Amino acid sequence: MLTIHSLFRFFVVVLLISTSTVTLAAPKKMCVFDLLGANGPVFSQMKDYKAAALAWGVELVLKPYTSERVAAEDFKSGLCDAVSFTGIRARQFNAFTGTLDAIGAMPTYAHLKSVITTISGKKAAKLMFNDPYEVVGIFPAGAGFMFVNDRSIDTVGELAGKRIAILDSDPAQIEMVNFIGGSPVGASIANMYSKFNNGSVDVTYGPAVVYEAMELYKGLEPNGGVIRFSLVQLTMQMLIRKADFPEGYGQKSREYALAQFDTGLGLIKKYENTIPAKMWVDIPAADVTGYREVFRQSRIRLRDKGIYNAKMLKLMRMLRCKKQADQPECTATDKE
Amino acid sequence: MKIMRYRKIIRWAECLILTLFLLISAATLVINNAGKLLVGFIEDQAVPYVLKTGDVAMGCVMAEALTLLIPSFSQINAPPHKLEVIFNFLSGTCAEFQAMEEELRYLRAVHIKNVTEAQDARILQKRHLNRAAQRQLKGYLNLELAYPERPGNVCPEFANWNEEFYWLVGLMDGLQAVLNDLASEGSAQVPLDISLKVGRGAACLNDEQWWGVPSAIQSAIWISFPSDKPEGIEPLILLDKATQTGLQQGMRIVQVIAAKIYIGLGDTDQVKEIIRNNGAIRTSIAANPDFLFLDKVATIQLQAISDYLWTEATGKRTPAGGLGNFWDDPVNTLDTIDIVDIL
Repeated sequence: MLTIHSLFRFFVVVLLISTSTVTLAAPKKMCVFDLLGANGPVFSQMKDYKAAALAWGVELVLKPYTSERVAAEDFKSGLCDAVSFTGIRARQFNAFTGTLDAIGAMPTYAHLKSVITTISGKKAAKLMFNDPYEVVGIFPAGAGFMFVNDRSIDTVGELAGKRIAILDSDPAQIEMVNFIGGSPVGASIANMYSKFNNGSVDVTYGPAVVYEAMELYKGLEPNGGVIRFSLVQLTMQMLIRKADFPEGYGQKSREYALAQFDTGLGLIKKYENTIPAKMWVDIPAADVTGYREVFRQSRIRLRDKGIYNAKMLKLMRMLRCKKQADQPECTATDKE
Repeated sequence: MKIMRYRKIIRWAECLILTLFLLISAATLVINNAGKLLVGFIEDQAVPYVLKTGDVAMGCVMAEALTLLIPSFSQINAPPHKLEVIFNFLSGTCAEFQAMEEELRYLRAVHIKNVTEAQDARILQKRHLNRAAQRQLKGYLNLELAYPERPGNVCPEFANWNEEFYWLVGLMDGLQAVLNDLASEGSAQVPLDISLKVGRGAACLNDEQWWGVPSAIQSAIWISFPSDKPEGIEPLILLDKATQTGLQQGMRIVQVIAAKIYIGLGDTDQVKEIIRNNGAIRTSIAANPDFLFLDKVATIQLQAISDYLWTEATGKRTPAGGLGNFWDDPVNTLDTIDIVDIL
């Protein structure tokens, strides 16, 4: 009896030692997408994250990627244990968080913060896990605005027939442009904005940071403008292969990312302020409702096609209606 | 009698006013010319002289000490825009060195898993990067003041060698200002369109004459912003050609740009190769004596990059005399005898 008990204790000790060895085992490789590679702002942000992760028992080795497609492939194939890239790219690993950037779903940063706070809580943990991947942090990357070369295009109807640049990698954009009757012109991040500047397209979209960085003022001259309407809320998301990380890592990491929200937002607003006041085009209040309805219909279509996640759409709809209960969508029969 | 006295007083007053006028005019003339002479002397003589010296640390202290003083020449009608370009670049580089020290502290802290120390080092690193970005932005803005054509629009007609040199340094000011600002969370608010303007501005310089640096700058821009890249150009091939152009002339500063580009791309093997190559070439091609200062800067920058790699891997910097060697180099096996055989 004593021998069996001793053996049992021995195995328990061995098990504990081996578990702790896994926890403190070899550093985990994190692939970080940043257009500027290791010299870029996202990579810099990840250096801070790396320091924080040490406290959770994980040493990360950061590897820069200037192509998020390659970063996603390397993550999928196991070359990276963790990854950081855009929410659009994250959709293939977790449709729930990948739907955060659904078209027209988050009108303000306050909405976005509420959603990220909600889904970063412990209760939502299981929605962040899609075997074998876990979303361990979401950062705001700025609202996507429409840049038009003719500022009279301020209603959805006027987008019909216009040449609109879309990212080939995002099926939601193709669907959306077709839906509003625009003429989609496929592009990559590399040439999307030069196509606008050289007049190959009439409309493009992006966060405010591209206005200065890609010299969009050239394409906006002489009569263009930036539509003051949040087309999408772009995000950067971090994912891990859950089994390779200690228990509880994901929750701590999500709470860390949430704590960085306001800092990130401060930077986003700085870039929005670089767009001169005269460039902004305010949509008449009556047309805002029209925009919202078109985007809502399009989200429903994309949900039915399996591109957007229904749970996330519902969560965002509930939040919009909580903040503005008098919106027509809150009483619509075909709610998201 | 009274009239005569008044006339005398008036004549004296006229003489006094005339004398004062002449004195003030002469003083203004002297001050104005002195300002222009002084600025001209520093631009044409002092800067080229310093470029022939080799004490970078002293150059750093000099730049940090004098950068505040230089703009005061504007008050005597000698706006020193070109001097501001170079002094702000140098003092910005000094702040970059301090930021690099903090990066090494961060890496050491990560190595020994000291979270608080790592986080503190990052905070201080960002402060130094912010200071570097502010200085370099000031340098770039002075480039725009010095050349009405402004980088990125049309190329200026350079009157002499000095003009081109200040243009090149101003472009480096702009590029570094953007990168350092991004790395410090945009706290210096550097306009991001400077990057593309710098890329186009680099085309105004002859690549052969400027040691391949203009092409290296363009490669750096086109890798991250391919929208401005001419059809058919492969930035990394261009970079390689630019590096060869610089090295053939004994100018190794282009290697620093190449190493930083490969660090950005995460290609550590290429970075190591550049640092090894720098050591090898040092013995075969002598540094250009007119630009010894830049050669020393290149060595210090490459040593800083080597320190970064070493510290990340081992927790310590490049060992003394070890620039060009790395912790994971294959160990040469020597022929030895098993001592047991003779016992």
